[in-house]
This record gives sequence, C-alpha cells and structure tokens, in this order.
Amino acid sequence: MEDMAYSTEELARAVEKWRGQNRKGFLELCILRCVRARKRVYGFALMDQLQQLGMEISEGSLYPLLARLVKEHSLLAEWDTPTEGHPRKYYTLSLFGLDFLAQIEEHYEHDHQVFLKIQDGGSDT
Amino acid sequence: MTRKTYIEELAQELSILPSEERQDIILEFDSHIDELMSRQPELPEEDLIARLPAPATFAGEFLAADASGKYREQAETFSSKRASESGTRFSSFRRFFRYARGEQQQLDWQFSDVTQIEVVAASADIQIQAAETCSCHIVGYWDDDEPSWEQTGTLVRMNLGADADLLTLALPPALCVLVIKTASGDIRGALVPNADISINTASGDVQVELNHGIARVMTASGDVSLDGVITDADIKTASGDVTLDGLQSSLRIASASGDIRVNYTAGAANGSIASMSGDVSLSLPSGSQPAVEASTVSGDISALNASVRKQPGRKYCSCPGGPGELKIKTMSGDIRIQN
Repeated sequence: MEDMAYSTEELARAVEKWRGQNRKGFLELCILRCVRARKRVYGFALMDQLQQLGMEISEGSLYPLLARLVKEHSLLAEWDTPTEGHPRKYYTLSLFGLDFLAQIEEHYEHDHQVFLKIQDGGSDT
Repeated sequence: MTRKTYIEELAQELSILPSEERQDIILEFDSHIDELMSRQPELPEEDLIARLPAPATFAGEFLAADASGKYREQAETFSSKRASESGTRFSSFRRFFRYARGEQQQLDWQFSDVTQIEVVAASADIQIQAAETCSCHIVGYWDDDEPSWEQTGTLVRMNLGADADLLTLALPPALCVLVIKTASGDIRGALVPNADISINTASGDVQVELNHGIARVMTASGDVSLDGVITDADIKTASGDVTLDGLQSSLRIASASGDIRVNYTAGAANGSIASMSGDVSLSLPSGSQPAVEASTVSGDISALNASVRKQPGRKYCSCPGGPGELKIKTMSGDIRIQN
C-alpha cells in the first residue's frame, strides 16, 4: 500500500486515541500506588499530587474512577467531618486492593521491561 | 455558571443513581470545589466553575463507572446484597401488583437481652417507642421476600425485605444503639434513655426524640427533625431540611440545599455547619457566647452582635468567646445566630 500524506490533526487524533486506550489502566495503577504511599488520602489531595508529578488528570476522570474502585472493593472510603473546615471523603486501600495492586504492578513491570528491551536490543535482532 | 447551578445540574444528571450514592458524589465534589476556591481566592467563582468538567459529561463518567462496577459485582455474586439496599428500584413493578395478590400479613417477634438493633428495610415506615421489653410487629404483603431476623449475643439484626410496609419496634431500657438503613420509609418515634441512633435513608423523613443520646443521620432528600436531649449530632443531607431542638453539645452538619435550624438548650456549643444554598439558623442558650466563625459567599450573616466584615467574594464574622467553638460556612445560604 502506498504511503500517504497526513495532516497534523490526523496525527494528533491518532495519538489521542492511543493515549485514551492506554490511559485507563495506567491511571488506576497510579491512583492505587498514590493511596498506598499516603495510606489515607482525599480526592483533592490525590489530584494535586498526581498533577504535580506531571500527570494530566482532571476531576472528570479522577472521581468516577475512585467511585468505581470503591465499588470493586479495591478502595475503602469514609467520611471525615472535622469540627474545622469542610467534610472530606478519605480513601484507603482494602486488603483486596493491596494484593490487587501488588499483582498489577508486577504485570506493569514485566510489560515495561519488554518495552525497554525492544528499545535497547532493537538493532541486534 | 455559578457553583450552585453547577451542583444542581450535576445532581439532575445523576438522578438515575440511588439517592444515597448521588448525595455522596455531590458532597464530595462540593468539598472539592470548596478546596479549589480556597486555593485560588482571587479567581471569580464563574471562572473557576468553567474549568470543571461539564455536569453532563462528568455525570456520564460516573454512570459508566457505576455500570462497570455493577457488572463485576454481579459476577462476584455481590448482587443480592445490593438488591436489598436498592430494592425499590428493581421491584417496583412487582410491588405494584402485590396488593391484588394476597392477604395482608403480620409478624410478631420478641427478643431478650438486646442492647443493639440493626434494621435494614426498603420502603417500610418505622415507628419506635420506649418499652419494658424488646419486641416488634411487622405488617406487609410478602410471599417469597419474608422479613427475617437473627440474634448474635445482644445484637439483633432484622431485614424487612422489600415488601414490608410498617415496623413497630418496642425498644428495651437496656438498648445502647439503634441502626436503621432504609430507602424510602419514614422513621418516627422516641428512643429510650442513653440510646444512640444511626440512620441512613435516601428519601425517608426522620423525626425522632432522643433522651441523652447521640444521633448520626445521613439522608438524601428526607427531612431530619430531632428533639429531646441530644448530646451529639452528626447529620449529612443533600436536600432535606434539618431541625435540631434540644442539642447540648457538639454538632457536625453538612447540607447542600436543605435549611438548617438548631436550638441549643444547654452546654457549650461546639462544631461545624456547612451548607451550600440552605439557610442556617442557630439559637443559643441565653448568656452563652461561644467563639464563632461564620462565612458566606453570597448570603447574609447576623451573628449575636458581632460585626460582619466584607472581602471580595465573601462576608465573614469572627468573634472570640467560650466555652464552645462554632464554625459555619455557606455558599448562598443566610446565617443567623442568636441567643
């Protein structure tokens, strides 16, 4: 098949599509890791941290994902109504969530190693 | 768009979800907006809201997450538990015909050595009253979904199922805690001395008299009215009104659009009230002067005789005092505190 000319919009669309397909699982992994690292965290702080680390994440993807992770029993949620300030909903990892995270981290590591090997050894094979 | 219309549109878009879930999402996101605003106080409200995902898109993500959660739950056979919690949604068609199907049925149960009671119900109204012994009377039209109970030590758990209409519950003097989870039934009556109550309801109204007890109530659209002697109150509601008459110590109230009226009768007033569009009216025992911090974005404040200061985007009033410390915040609701 003949190679064809393409517009920058077409390229951008294709990249966005690829990112969309890749993002969901990765986002879930990052959120679970963040919750484990901080032990107990609420939505705003989580978004703040991920954004500071360079991740593009908005309310529109974070909160529905948190809700799903609670429904799927990976996260536990509890309300904290302090005498000072606004009530906050805090998330912690469940026992299931801890084991689930450990396993998906292994899979991610494995896939990432494959990715790195292809880069390094590309010229040899 | 203002914050208020944003939240209202979001609530509208989420209306297909069970109200407890919807209220949870809204309270959480309202708290998120609060934090965003406090980080960027110089940013006008409308600009800040414009940066948020559109309510319809946002709600769509939640509904998609809800659906995927549900399918997986069914696969894990968690479905029966959920069905009993949100039973009204799925069985309303069947329930419509149940009156034609059979005779009204009744159950009477007696229990002894009870200090804790947990009731799970769908649409049954619940009446509670103080008594010498623990018993209950249930009326409804059921065939397969018959109410059931189990006792573990001093804890009695009742599941009324989807087809019970009325539970009359006689509470023993030794009762410490009554826990009620219901979708749409009303809860009314009086507690025994020193008993605490915890209620989770979607649209049921709550009207309970306490006698030196703690109250914890979560509702979506039901009104909450508590009186008697309340030693501590923790109330969350989306659109229900909250009336507390007889509070003696601390309170935490979060409300989206319901009005809040609190009458402290004794003790030091401690706690926090957060409301979006609901008005807050607080009456303190004469002579009491707790420390008060009240702020509102677009409402009015009148707090004891303290002067109200204005800043761009908010009015606030801060007056020292003690014993007791009250923090009150609203978006558009008015705040009124008086002796």
